[in-house]
Amino acid sequence: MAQNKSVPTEVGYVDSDLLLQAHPGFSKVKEIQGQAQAELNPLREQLQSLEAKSRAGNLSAKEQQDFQSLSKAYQDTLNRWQDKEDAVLGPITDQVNQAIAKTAQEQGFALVLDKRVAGTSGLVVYADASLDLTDAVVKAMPK
Amino acid sequence: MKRSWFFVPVLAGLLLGGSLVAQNKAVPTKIGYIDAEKVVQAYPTYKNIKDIQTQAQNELKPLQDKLTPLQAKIQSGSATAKDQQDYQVMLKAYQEAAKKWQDKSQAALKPITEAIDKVISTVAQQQGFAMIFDKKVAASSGLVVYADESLDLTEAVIKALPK
Repeated sequence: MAQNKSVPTEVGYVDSDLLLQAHPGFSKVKEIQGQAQAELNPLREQLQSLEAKSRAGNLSAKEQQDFQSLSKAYQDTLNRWQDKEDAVLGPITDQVNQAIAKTAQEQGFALVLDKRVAGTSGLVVYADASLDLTDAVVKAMPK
Repeated sequence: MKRSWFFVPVLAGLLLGGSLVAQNKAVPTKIGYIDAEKVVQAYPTYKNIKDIQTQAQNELKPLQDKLTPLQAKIQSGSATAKDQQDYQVMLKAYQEAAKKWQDKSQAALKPITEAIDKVISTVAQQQGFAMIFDKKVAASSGLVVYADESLDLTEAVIKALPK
């Protein structure tokens, strides 16, 4: 019995998106996303107009070539920004996960679910608001 | 003497409360998880499945080795009519062989997974667990972001497997 009492049994949940956004380093991620959009948007616009022409069947040989090189440039740019974002987001995610584990252990939670996945998957159809650990985790995050 | 009447309801309340607590204990509330893949691999007859997989590879690999260069030829546009025909015949042979081995493997796996499911429910009931998650699905789906290690029933289930 005494042993059983020390085993946590409660199930909680957190809003992971909100936690990431609450991390002090997240502004850097948003900055990268903004820069990526600024570089990708003009490329996408050019691609879209060529794509429309291509579907109508009136692309010249040169335009077809442009389309190919533009597609590649777009993909390369996208990959480059994605890598940059991942590099910044990786340590933030690790720290958020650590804050979740710390809060769960302190408050005796056995299992913590992601609110969005639990909800959108249709798996969890009811959860008491008292099980929401989001605010407690935000407080436990690095400042 | 008059005072003692006050104790009766209190005592009754305690007794009632006690019985309610006892009742609550019977309902399991714990959620655990297992590494299902690890349990399947620990099953004594799992080597039969591995044998089937090896046999399948031995039969499928030569077919694949013939298909790959033909596919490259077709994609580059340098395939002859005969190449095309060979490719179709070989692709059909490959797909049929793959299906045959898949069926065999599934048939061999079925009794194992059924036996494991029974062991899982026995262990869960014995240890008062209400629900058991598959560790891999729980994590890769992004659903579970934290789980206490004391909830991992993998080793307990492996110990309870038939020898």
